[in-house]
Amino acid sequence: MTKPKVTHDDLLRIIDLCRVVETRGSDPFEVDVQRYLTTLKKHLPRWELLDELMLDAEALSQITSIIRLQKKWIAYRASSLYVDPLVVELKIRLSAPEALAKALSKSWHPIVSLEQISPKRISDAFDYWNNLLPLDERFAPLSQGELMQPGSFDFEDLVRLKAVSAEEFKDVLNSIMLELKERLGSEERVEYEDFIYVEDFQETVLRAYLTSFLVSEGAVILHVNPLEEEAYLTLGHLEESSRTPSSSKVITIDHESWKMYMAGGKTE
Amino acid sequence: MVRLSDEAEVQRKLKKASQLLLLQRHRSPGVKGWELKRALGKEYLKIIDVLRSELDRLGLEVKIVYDGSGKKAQEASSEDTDRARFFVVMKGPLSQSEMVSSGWRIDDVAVLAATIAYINSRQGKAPRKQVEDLLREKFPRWKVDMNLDRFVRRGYLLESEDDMLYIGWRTRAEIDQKTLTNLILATPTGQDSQVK
Repeated sequence: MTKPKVTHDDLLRIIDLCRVVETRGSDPFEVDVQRYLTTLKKHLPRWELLDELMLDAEALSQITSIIRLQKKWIAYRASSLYVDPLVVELKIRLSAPEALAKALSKSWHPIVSLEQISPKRISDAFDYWNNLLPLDERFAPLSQGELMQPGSFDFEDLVRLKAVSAEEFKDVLNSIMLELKERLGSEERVEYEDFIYVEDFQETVLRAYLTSFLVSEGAVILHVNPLEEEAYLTLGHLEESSRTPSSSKVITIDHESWKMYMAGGKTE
Repeated sequence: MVRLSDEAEVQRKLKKASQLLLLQRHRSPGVKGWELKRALGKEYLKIIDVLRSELDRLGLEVKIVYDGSGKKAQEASSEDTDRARFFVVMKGPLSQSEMVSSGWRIDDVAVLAATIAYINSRQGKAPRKQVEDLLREKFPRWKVDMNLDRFVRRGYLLESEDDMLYIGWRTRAEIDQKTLTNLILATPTGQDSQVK
């Protein structure tokens, strides 16, 4: 038995109408829910294919959205905020622009904000200006030699170039791992800043670099709470680290934040 | 009894809170709850309450606008408050002369008033085309287009990809929408005066 195409069109029309009412915000009571439910009920026994049943389910879901909108509509109309939109529109059309402006000025409480430059910022800007080369010098072509494309070194490259020794690096890495284990012996976790920041700034940067290695290897786990701006370290399990998906976390360390931490505790 | 050191700490936090709230640091004014929390600590709402009473004497008040559609302070969770935007606004409305000196043209203000009242009467959203048709009765096309785009840019309105206009965060922060609608409804029109 061939199904009349019109039944499919009925479903598509119901879905379309419900979507328009929902997106355009028009009166949901314009949709004759009762009639559409009867249509769906009438056609339901004819559906055999999955696509047809999916279409039927979609139409039913759209009708339920309309019923939800009708509930919201009634609640809104019953609230004290409700004013007939047609009355408001009529008033706007009939009012003079001056009267509309006056109404807004009486209900307007503008945001107060300041724009100010601090003496420190002026001094920074002055230094910047003094150190800034003239445009023709900044954009002058490089004098001679072949221009190398920028690239990056990894640890193996540095070892190959004899910039660092692999053994030495492993020793330093082991020592920081041992230190972290000792700290974690008495505590469940250690705050990242408490562990990284030490008296000497260079040493602080080195500790951050070494810790990032331990985190990459999975020996240490870095937990970051972006809302609280907290980061802390716990011990990891190397076997598990290969199974868990990796992600990058960026923690900046600058001289200012280090100084602030050293002066009186946490950085802001 | 409050110790002196506690008092000094509260004063320091009050200063910090007022700086954060008043100094515009981003493109948009105001500061997010989590930024206040980071600078003032977990009890930042208590500091804001103290600041609120200080600002009250200057005719200013702290306003909180929650993400999403007009959530109220009583309904908000602490996560909502962290994500909310905090502003300092003028407590009283603007006088006519203040309005003129603030740089707004009277017809631009009228466009904003009509747009907000129209959208508000339609449960907070309306197709841009409908708003434009309404405004073009009294203002030239270029002025309507320019103003609607400007209000969207400044946060008074929000425009979706399907050309629907919504009430923006700035309207929720600055404009008492109920008062505006009531005042527009109470405005005597040309026809009213003829009847009288």
